[in-house]
Amino acid sequence: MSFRSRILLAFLVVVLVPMAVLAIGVRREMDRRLTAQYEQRMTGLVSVITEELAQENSSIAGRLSSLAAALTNDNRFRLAALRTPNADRAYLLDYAGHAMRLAGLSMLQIQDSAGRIVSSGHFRNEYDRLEPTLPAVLATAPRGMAIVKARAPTGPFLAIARTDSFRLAGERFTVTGGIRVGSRFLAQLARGHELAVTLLAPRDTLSSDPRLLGDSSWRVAASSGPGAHAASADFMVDDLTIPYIDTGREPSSAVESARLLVSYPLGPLTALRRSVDLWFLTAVGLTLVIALLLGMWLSARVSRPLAELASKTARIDLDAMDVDFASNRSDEIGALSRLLGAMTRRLRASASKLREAERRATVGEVARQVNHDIKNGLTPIRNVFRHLAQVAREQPSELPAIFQERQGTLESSIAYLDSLARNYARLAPRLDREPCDVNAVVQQVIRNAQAAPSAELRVRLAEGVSAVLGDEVVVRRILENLVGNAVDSLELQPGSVTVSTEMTQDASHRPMVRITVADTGRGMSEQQLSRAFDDFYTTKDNGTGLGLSVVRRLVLDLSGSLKVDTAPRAGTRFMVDLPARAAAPLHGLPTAPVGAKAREKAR
Amino acid sequence: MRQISMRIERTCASWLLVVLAAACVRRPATVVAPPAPAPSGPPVACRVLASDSGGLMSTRAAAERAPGAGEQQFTDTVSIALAGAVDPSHAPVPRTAGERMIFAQLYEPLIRVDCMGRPYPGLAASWSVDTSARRWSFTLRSGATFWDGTPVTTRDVAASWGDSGQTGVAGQAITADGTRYAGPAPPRLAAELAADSIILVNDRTLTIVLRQASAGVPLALASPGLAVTASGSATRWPEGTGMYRVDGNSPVLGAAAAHGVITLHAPPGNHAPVLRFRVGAVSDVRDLLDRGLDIAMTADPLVLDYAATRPSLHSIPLPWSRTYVLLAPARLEQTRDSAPAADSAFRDALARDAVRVEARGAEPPYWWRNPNTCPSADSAQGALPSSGESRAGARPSEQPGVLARRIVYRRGDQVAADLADRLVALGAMGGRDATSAARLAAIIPGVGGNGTRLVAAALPAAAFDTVLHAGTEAAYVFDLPAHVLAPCAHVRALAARLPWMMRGAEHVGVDSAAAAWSDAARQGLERTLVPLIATRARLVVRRGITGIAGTTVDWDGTPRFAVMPHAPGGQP
Repeated sequence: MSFRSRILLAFLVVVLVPMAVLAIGVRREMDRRLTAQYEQRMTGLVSVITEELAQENSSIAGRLSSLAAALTNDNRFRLAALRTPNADRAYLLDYAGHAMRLAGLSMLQIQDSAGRIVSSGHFRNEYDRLEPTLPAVLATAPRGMAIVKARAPTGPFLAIARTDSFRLAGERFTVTGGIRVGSRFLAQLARGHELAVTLLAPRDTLSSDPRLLGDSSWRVAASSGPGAHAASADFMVDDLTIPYIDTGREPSSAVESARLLVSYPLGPLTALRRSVDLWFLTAVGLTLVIALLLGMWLSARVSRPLAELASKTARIDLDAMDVDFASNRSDEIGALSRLLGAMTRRLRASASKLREAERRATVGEVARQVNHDIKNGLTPIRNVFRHLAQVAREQPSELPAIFQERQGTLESSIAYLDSLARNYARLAPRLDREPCDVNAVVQQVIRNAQAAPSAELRVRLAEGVSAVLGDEVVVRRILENLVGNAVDSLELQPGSVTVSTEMTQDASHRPMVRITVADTGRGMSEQQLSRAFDDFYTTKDNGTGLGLSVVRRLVLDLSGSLKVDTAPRAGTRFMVDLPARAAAPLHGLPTAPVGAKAREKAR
Repeated sequence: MRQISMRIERTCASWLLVVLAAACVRRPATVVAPPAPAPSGPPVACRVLASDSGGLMSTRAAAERAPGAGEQQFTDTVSIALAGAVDPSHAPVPRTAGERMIFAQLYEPLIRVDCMGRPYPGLAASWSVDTSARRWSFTLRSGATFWDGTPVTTRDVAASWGDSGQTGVAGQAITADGTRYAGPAPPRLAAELAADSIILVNDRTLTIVLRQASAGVPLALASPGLAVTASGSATRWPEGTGMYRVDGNSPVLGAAAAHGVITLHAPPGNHAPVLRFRVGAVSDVRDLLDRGLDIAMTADPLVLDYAATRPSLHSIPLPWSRTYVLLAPARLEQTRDSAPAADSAFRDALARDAVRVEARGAEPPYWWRNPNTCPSADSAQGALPSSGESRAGARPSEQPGVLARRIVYRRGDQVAADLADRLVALGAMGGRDATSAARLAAIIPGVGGNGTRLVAAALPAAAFDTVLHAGTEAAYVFDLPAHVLAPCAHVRALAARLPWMMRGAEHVGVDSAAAAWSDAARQGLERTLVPLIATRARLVVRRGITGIAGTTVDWDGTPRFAVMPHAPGGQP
């Protein structure tokens, strides 16, 4: 995970977590307080409804009391109720109807002491029905009031009823009356559009809002037992229990319970919750976006100087120390820039010293190389001159012959020195890519090689080896270094050095000439091998440490490759692959192999 | 002293006439066999306002009635309030009490039947019958004209008896020289009388040939359905031949006429007062009486009670004209020998306590229970329900699980509502009052127990007729005329409204022969109709009004405020 991502993530966490905690906390607190408010309001409304029912009860009681008093004083009614001959029975039958309408009641029945209905207002033709238990049950009901399922010609209806009594000629009459409980009455109790009042009677259900009855959420809330303060997702419900009497069922004295459910829809609360949730989600989303943008900006602001520092640092090289780390920032990044600038300056100074040392080392190497090369050229001459001196001293007569015999050696050494001199004169020797007979060069190098008597030099030259494109001097220098090292590796111990040539191919199937120099010397360890081609690395007491490094450079200059196979005390095998003439045609040389057959020469 | 003496005389005479009238109206107007030779008009016993001691009849009216009295000019206007709407398009067959009253003044059948059940001349001045008792000849009143002065001919009579779309068919068949014509009986005549053919002897004489001898003729010719009318007048009121005609300013449209003032006047030269009828939903009749209304025909106990408290008003009972019945389709499933539905005590109790109008327990005979076999009528076959019709109505007994069953009645009929309410109340008593339950179960089979709940339901007239036709309700409460002149025709007409009832005819094994159909219908009605109570209205009359001293009541209890002078009666 990148530094920038970490900054971004941390920023988001830092912003979002408090925001979420705030949202949850505020919502929970709001929910708790609103619910408490609703419950308080609900309790208040239930109290109001209870009070209104009590007022209705009181009002009914007052009207019934007035009726009872009026009936006591109504002689016409008295005569008919007491079944006096020639009494106006129609007056009796119609009395309750008139009185009911006058008193503003929906139900009114007058019964004699036997419970026989003598006049019924809500059901004019219900006279003579025996219903003795209704007044008795109503008289004993709590607060003297009950929901009564009364009859009417067109069907039963529910009424809040109570009873009163009066006496005529010693006979007790009861007057039972009430007001209809219908949707309109319940709506009046509801007093508004939000509240709903529902009457759940054992076999009847009425509501100020009939749509409620089909609401499953409301049914869930209403299904709780009497007296429970219940709530569902959409409704808060409280209830009152009222005695219930169904006059159409047997026994009519059975008192059941009806529930007056007060339902408060939680729709506004739910909507408020949803609104708050929505706003919180919007706020969180907005915060998220802002935090993301801010985090991206901040992380970019923090990481960009670092990236720039990284980029500048990546440009630092021994050859390119001119990177400017100057910064005006006063923060850690500015300090880091300044530190890197100081470090670069120190590196620049060190590199300068290193280059000076390297230059000096290179000059020394060149001097040693010149010394080495000149000695290689002078050694045959010195040997010839020693031989000639020895012949002149011991066999003067043979001197011309010997001189003539050895003149070629002198001339070739002189030519070598001359060529060496020209090369060094050019300082940066430019390769003369001309066809070069590798076998001839090998034979010449072996011939000039100095080795201990215990060392055996072997040449195994393949026939048909193509010439290579290169400078013969360069090839000779390669071979002289490799053979010299091979001889040195024998450390005067008996052993052999074998130089062989052969044709091979590189990875691109180009024809290559392979020159292999193998010895049976001490070999190299892996550590020695890893540094064998470094400049100035040597394991010999008088070694310059430049031989193999020069060999590697020269082989690369000839577009060739160099492989080493070595192991401690198992000898070393150098394989130099040089591009064959086929890839670069020779000028002035036959295209055929130099030798017809492989030659082996032991010296 | 002389004035006191005259007043005493008037009072005595008035009471005598009232007693006679009461004796008349309390008798059931039983339709009987061919009457004795017809009088020239209704008897004095049928005059309901023939009292001058209380001021009901003016001295001028008494003089008019006196033989040999000279012509006098009467320009008085009598205002009358009627219950029930009046729709001219129903003429001449009335459907409401108001239409009965007004149509009786406007339209005439060939003969009329008085309150004693005796025929007297109507449009026909005389009639006779041959020895086979199948050929009845009628001679139209000399000088009879329609309201517009057009003389009434036998062709007009035959055309009036045709269907509305066939008016004039009989007339077209008459030859150009007006000689005698014989043809099939017009539909309405065939329906009422089972007549086979009609012969127009000349412009004044026609002969009706019956399929078989019938004792119902000529009484059946007094049916309002056979009143002679002519269409084509400028108003929507059909032209009649009665003494009164509709004033041109009276409303003519049905809806407007249902609630308005209809003025009838006699042609110049007659001494009858103008009749101004207030019909439809009049305001409180007591207010009208206080503002000078002369006559109100009503059964409203409030009005009658009020009238009893006012010395200037007098209340005269009319005949028991309506019988309220309960029709219980489920009774059709009962066996022929089922117990009687409602005993007289029960009916009397209903009349005494359940309704607010003047009522009594219905008493036989009932015209739908006429034991005489009705003659076959071609028209009856047209009313024979098809098998599809007979199965169309699924009756309550075929609907298991129906707990709330209805007793239905026409909206606005308070008497029917009270009766239905009482029956429902009896049903609610079922579990506690075995007597009530048994009574109710006897009336409406299958109810009265705890498992069935009855309710009363008021339906608009059209809806009531629809459910009556379907027969799907537990019971129906409605009223029927207490008396009819052609029982068979009415049985057929009533049965035609109850197609489901003919399943009972199949049940009792009656085939589809047209002659037997009527008998099956009668049997079905006899089993399903339960007579409950009979009701009557009263005339509340202002004392001292003039010009209507000759007011009589006909067989159906309808007052006629004036009687045309009649030619001498014929020989039946």
